[in-house]
Amino acid sequence: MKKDSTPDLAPARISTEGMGGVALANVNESVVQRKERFERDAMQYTNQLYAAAMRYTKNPSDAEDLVQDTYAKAFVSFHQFQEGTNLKAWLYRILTTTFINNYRKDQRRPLQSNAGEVEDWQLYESASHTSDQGKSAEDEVLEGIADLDIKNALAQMPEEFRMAVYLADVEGFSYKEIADIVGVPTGTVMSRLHRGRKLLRESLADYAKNRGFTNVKGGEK
Amino acid sequence: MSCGESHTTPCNEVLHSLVLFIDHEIQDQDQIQQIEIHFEECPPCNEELVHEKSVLGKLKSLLASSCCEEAPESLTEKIYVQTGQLAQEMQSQFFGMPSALSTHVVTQYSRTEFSVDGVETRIEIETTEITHHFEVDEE
Repeated sequence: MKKDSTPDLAPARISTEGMGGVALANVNESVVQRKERFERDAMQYTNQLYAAAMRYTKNPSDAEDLVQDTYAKAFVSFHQFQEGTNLKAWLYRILTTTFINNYRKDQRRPLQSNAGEVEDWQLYESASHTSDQGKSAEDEVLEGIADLDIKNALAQMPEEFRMAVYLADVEGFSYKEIADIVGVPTGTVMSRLHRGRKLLRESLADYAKNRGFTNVKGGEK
Repeated sequence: MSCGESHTTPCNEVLHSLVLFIDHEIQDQDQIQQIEIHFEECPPCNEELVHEKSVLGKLKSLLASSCCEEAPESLTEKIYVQTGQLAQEMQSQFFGMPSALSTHVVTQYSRTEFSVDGVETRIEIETTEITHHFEVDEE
């Protein structure tokens, strides 16, 4: 009963077993070491997570709370993060799950994709060539669009499409990574991403039309 | 619709996978090669590729330049303080058990996904088992 184990060396032999019961991480780390590792590796993503939280919550005060909650959860379960894997994706997963569970305005709204989504995706591509007129009109739209327009267009999109587009086209996550972050199958991500992009293109064309610099509806095939 | 020419891979098949191709989501190297060959020999499809790539590229850079708010400094500060507090709490938990030589934490989680009539449901269960090892004092 001697062993005056100094607090900062309090041993925490942690083994995490992941899906399928395979050991993913086995870390020997004191609390102080964990804190150092956390501040070194995780704190660099505050800006990105805040911008994502702004897309999710649509207001600065909720976005701040969401990011702060995310970091608290991340620190407490940091032993579960496997060194060498994608920390950014891991943090985004916590951010997204926390948002879905605690911050969504309408908690009753089911997050599950409606039936038929995958079929929609399969039909999405019209599998035909676009007219030259359609192409140049859309290029014109994107040349002249304002930052505020794209922000608004994104904000007005249904949540699941907005998330998919943001995670893929701003953060550059792969379909598989997004599936893990959002907690839906890859097929659903595909469908949401394509529908989301389509919606965004259509609404940008509408903004452009209202601003009067094009009279051809873009995004049309 | 096709461009009228006959190709090894038909136009509609290529156009179906166009977005996946641009997003680098096709894993099958043979399929990638087939699509690339098609683009080389089919000008209308190639034009479609160039257009989609350019639109998506513009969309991405528009999004990147308009959705890049920086976290307020006060927030970053709050997170540092919070991390310090959480660390202290963890520390004192260890402190409360000075005789524990080592602590073994095993977290297991299982995920079950099922689908009924097209509605997907996911269940995640996380269990944590904490074992403290004590030294046996032999006086």
